[in-house]
Amino acid sequence: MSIIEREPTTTEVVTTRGEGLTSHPPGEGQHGHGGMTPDGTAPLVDPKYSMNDITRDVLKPMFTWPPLGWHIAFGAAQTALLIGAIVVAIQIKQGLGILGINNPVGWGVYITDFVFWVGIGHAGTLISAILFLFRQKWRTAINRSAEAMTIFAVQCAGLFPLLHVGRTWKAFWLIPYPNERLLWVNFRSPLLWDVFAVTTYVTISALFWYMGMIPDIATARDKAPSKIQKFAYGILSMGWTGSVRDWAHYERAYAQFAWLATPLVLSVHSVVSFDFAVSMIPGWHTTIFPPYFVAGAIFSGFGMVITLLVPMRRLLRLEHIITINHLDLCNKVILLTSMLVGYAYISELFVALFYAGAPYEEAQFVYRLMGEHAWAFWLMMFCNVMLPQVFWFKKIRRHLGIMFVISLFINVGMWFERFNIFILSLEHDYLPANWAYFRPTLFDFGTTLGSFGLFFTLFLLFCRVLPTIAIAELKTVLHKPAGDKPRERDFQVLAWPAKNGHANGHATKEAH
Amino acid sequence: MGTLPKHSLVGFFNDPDELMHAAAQARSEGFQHLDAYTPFPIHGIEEVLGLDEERSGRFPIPPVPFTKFKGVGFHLQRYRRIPQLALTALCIGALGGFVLQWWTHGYDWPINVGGRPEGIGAWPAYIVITFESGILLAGLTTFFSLFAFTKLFPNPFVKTLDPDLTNDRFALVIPVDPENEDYETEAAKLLQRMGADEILKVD
Repeated sequence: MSIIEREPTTTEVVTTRGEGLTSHPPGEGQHGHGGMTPDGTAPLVDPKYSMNDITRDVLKPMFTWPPLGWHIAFGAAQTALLIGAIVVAIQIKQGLGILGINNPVGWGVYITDFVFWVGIGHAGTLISAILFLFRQKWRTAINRSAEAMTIFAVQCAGLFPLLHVGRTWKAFWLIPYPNERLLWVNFRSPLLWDVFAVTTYVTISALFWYMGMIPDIATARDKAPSKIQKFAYGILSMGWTGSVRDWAHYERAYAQFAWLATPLVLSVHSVVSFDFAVSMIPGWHTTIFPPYFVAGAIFSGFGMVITLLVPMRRLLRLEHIITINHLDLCNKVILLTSMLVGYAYISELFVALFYAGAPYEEAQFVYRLMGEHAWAFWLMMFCNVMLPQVFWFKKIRRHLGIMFVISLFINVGMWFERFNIFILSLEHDYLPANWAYFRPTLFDFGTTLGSFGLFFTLFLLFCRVLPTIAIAELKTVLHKPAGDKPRERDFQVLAWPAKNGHANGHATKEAH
Repeated sequence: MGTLPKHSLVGFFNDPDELMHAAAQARSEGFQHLDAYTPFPIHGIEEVLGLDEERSGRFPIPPVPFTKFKGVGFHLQRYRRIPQLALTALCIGALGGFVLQWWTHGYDWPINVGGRPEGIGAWPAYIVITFESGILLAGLTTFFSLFAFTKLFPNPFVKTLDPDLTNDRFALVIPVDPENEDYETEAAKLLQRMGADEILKVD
């Protein structure tokens, strides 16, 4: 099949745009320039894997019985979800009094969980939107799973304010609509800004995620072994055929979503931080909060990305697609954002203790450093600032076991960061007569456990039924398939008479 | 949805570059209304296929204002509709969100909080929701306009030329005239010369 008679002029026409797969003349090299990591050393995917290999390996978990590890993880996640469901049912029936919240500490573990989960979501959007705009091609292997993580994390986050309003069945009062109560919501409250920010965020992320998945679901439809799967993926893939006309619109819509999601993701955690920064509690009322929260969100999100990807690539046998290079790059982002949050912690401390001269603020930070909950502060410092510094060493950045353990510490540390900010500030506000110690109850822990159960249940189901890698996008960064090597195929049809006039083997395949 | 012309020749390729060369060659030899099916987006193929010159269709699309200079979008006007719609939706959403807050707080149900300004005077407090509603409407518009333009809908019975077109095969579609055999032969010769490993006749 290698008889290609190209006119010399053809190459010129093709390469006018000078980008993408056609930027190099045929036969030049095996790797397109898109197949390089940012340091230009290695291809993103080993050149020995063809497009067909990628498709097969990504779709395999969808069409085969999952491995034992998946079942164990799914069982554990279901158990946690069940415990959470029971606890939440009791809490809705009994009321918020069974939680640890007390008089000064009105925002307890629920709000901590809310901000924790919203923060987790940010890494997914950073990978899918911001790295897309920066043309970071390594994102293609991990963006799908990171976006899934985003959506599931924001779903978990959304539960907590709904539970925390107390009368959960009246949570719809947060929506501004003309109603028989003749009341409007207070648009000047940061808490309402949050409602808008989080609902917009989850909507846009979900649409972006689904839209990006349509061509891959079409691949799944065309490869599905059973009729039911073909039908289901057929509906989900919206009848995608891969026509260039569709791709043209699709590419523009995708870039459009990236442009919309980029300011959105930066705004969401800023708005979350306004809940605190706009109020008058010492320890909350600081202008550093929006960037500080965004950096922390990306930090915790990448921590969760590592926590999910290290087992996932193993269980789904995707080690050759989500390579150690990808994890290495994620760890570099962790290192950077760790230093950003570390800088925020230190500058916050410095301003409060030595610069601002605000006595209540100063007292609050002395309390954080040396008070009853000081262990939470130092745990946060250890997990978020000190421990990630080991990622300066390349060997550690590329060691699966160590990075997994560190990512768990980062998750814990970032949970305690929010615990510090919210709960310690409320424990010691202005009047010493108001001060109290916050002691979470089993219901607080149970709901938190339940949210982890929900998160992992959804993620494991995602691994089972949807393509976990952006197949079509990955193929654009794949090495150029060898043009002169015949493709392995169980049929070869040479359909048309050859140039010299007589038929070359087979007849034309007729389709009606 | 890329609809297949009634009579056409489909050449299958294993390599995106081969497809591009074949498309460019077909274009330069005067074949028209070309289409291609690819498993992943190939940059620049719209230009090579000449999709920008198409003005056929039920609703002729008028030229897009402000993009009539080379290099920015002259070639692909037809495919620049989504960003324009999204920008419009962004403005409408933001304006709607702002007006909703202004009206409710200034006129329908003014709330006096410590004598602070109401209505338009409190505009900084409205910025966040203005932004969010603009982004929300722009995102929804982008999503639904994609399906409106491509005419895609949840269709489990869609017919594909080859299941590998979403995997690792590339197809170039040349519409042919069943009456004009020379044209068809020329198209077939072209596809074969450009390295098609299978040629399918659809009629």
